[in-house]
Amino acid sequence: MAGLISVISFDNIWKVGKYIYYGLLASQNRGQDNYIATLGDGVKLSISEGDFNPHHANGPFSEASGHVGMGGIYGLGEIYERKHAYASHNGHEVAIIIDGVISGSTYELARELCKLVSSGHKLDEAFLEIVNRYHGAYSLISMSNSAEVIAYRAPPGIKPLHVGGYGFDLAIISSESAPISILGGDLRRAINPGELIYLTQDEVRMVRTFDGKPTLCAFEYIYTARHDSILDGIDVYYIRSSLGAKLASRFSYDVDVVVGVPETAMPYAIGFAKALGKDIELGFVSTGSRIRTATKEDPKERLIGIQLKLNPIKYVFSGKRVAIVDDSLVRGLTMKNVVQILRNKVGVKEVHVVVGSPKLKFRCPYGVSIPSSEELLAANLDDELGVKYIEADSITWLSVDDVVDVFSRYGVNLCLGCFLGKYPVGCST
Amino acid sequence: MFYVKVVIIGDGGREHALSLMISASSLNPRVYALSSYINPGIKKVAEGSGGRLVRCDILSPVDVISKVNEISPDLIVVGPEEPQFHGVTDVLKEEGYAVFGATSKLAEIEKSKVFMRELMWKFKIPGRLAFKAFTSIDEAVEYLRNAGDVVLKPARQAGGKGVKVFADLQAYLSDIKSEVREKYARKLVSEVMSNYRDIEYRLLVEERVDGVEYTLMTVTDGYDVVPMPLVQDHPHAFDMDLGPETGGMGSIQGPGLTLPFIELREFDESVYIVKEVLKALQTVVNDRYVGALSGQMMLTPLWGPTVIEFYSRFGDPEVANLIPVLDIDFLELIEAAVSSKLARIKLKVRDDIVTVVKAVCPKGYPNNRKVAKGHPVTVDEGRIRDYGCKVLYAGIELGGDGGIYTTGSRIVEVLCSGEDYEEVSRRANKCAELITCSDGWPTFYRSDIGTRELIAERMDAAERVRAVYMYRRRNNLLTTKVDWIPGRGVTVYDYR
Repeated sequence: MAGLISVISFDNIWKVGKYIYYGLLASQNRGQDNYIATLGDGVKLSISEGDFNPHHANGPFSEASGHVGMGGIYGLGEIYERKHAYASHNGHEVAIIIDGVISGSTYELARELCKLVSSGHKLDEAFLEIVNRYHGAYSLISMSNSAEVIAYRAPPGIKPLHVGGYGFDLAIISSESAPISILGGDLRRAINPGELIYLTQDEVRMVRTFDGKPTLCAFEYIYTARHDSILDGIDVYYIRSSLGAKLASRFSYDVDVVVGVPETAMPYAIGFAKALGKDIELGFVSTGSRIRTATKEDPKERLIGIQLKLNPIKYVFSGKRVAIVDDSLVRGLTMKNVVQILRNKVGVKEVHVVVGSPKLKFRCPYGVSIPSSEELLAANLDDELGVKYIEADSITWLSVDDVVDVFSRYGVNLCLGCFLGKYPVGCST
Repeated sequence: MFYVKVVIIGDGGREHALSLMISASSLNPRVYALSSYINPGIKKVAEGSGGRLVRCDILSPVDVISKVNEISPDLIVVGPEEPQFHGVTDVLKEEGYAVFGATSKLAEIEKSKVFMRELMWKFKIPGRLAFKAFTSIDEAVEYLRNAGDVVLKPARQAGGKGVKVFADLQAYLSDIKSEVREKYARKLVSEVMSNYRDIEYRLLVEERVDGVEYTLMTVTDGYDVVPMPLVQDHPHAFDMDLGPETGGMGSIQGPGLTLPFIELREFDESVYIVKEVLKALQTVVNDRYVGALSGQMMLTPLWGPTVIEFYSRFGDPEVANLIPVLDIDFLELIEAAVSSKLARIKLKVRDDIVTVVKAVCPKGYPNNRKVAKGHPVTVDEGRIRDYGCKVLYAGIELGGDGGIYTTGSRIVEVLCSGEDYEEVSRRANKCAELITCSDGWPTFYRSDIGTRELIAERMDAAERVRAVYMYRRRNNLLTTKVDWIPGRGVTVYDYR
């Protein structure tokens, strides 16, 4: 996973470095470890990369000049060197960043683009020449040293990409919509699958290479995206709380209270509790900054993350029958740990685990950090064993049909590969 | 044989539209045009009516009067604002001609944005915004340092150029914005305002409002005001409302008097504002207004209908939208205004169709006009006619070799009408594709103007704004604004 951002100013008096910084800061839900930022002034590209420090508003690139810029933020789990590339040829430079997976090498793509640009092609023309050799589940932003930017969302649109604007001055490209509003801009719309947008100070134009509806990654809505994002015109929060309500219809136990695991699961817990007619309580308090435990590779780091983010509020749990809602169950380690704490230290009466996704059984070939099948609880343990492993009183999952049903009013397709093992696009990674 | 001679002063898309409407009159007028360059569209209309196009320095009252005297017209229409600012109307009136167009004193309502704002405040007309005007750049920069959420404008009308909006709501980005505001203020003064010495003020800083813009064009004889149907222009250069401000990339109108996102009540309130401004203007200037007077309006959370700017003329490209929908002899309307008989005019507007206008521009417009100028243009008028659409020539010039060339501004406007926005917009796109530069220089237009998505977005935005201003009205907040800076006390702004 990666968060991509680009800011193009229509007037050279702007410096966009700080915008890129805050854009990346607002995209940390898609990766929070490494960043790469590229700034352009129409003559050359300046690139900086490294560990992303969320406390350094005046980081290495935020004060640099450049009226056009782009940045990508990646998790440690990514082989992130393969998600960006730079090439130069005869005084021409091209840089690219991608979210997702692409057939072929990003470096080769950058090199080919740069060659075409140096032979007189505009960046979008260059990309259109070669795009049919680079398929996959990816979104891409590319920049040339003559301050051209292209944004492309590969069909069938598994990875999101959005466009926004600020007054007469800025255009903003972002994986999700929320960073656009964090940058003070207004969301204009989602980039369509197969759509290429070309942006310079003199020209904005768009081409569609694909005519179908988007096929969205269901996991974007279930886990990856921010609650405050709108992806392809669909409110992430609405999907999560509706899935929570679906869970309530599958839940057959009596409980005293509903608790959500912070913070992705909160809309699920709210939707679930509302539909069930039960009170929802705040169950945990986090220590330190927000850490996305599910995507950490190292088990020890994951455990540290869990324990820091999930200190239970004793009053809420003590002596009660509790439904505890999480957005997904990957290895089950988080939940097992939580249940242990609730039983041994807090004195809960019953713990019913409620999961806001269908059973995760397959790895994602498109770059979402879901472990391989051997490491997935739902792929290896049946319901009975799962309950015993977690040491819960019950586990309730969503069905794939529940998810399809919640999306049905939008007339979109979904990638459900991690639940079904069937994938919309072939791609070798 | 008896015939009416009409002179139209001006050379752009607006004057092409006016010449078409006037020449269509049952009075069979002969149309003459005074233009600073040869606009082939206007030339064709003029010659087709038995008149002609005369080259003229339209900013020079002396040149205009001598050319007009040769023609000896019955009626003169002064299209653009600059000839009005330069006293062309004044001189023509002194010579005894019947003129449709504001005199220089009345045209101050457009020329000086400070004059307009002061007038609205003095007469307490609804729809006004807080502002601050500056004669020195240093003073302005000092003020701007902490100004926050503002709009920066050149103090004088400068061909629709130079307005910049600085929404400043994110504290973490305000350092950059402060820097940009200062740089931009200096740039405005040195690059735009340096062209104008006829006004003392240099810069205007206005409170920023958010909302949905629309244009209300009216015709007045100084006693009565005849409102035209509302039109919405699209100032952003590129699709999806991205890019720099332009003179207008296209406009939509209909069905009927209002737009899908403006209520009839809001239309009436807008007309009331224009009437009040007209009254105040005539009182202050002590002159009677004969001509077109247009309000660039915005539905804002602050007031509902709010004045952004005033034009002492018809909007361009907005006037083109009127061509298919005004069920009236346009020359009779103008005639009635000039002879103070507007009260007798009943304007009928077709409500069974909508109109879409799209401007086609050379790459480089609006910020890099030098590279956009001088490219040979091909217009496939035949096929555009086959689509049932019209072409209005704007920034296009007849060259010495008989070819037509870009002037660096909007090349043409295509005008389409029909029952349904979506269909009309698509047809306009097809027409826009038929305008090309034969040297391969790229052209662009906005494919999204008139689409269902964009209109739906405007309706959403209008609904949000409407909820806020109705709340403010219900709670009597329209005339009061309360600011509180913790530790520094409460300030109550009285808008009464």
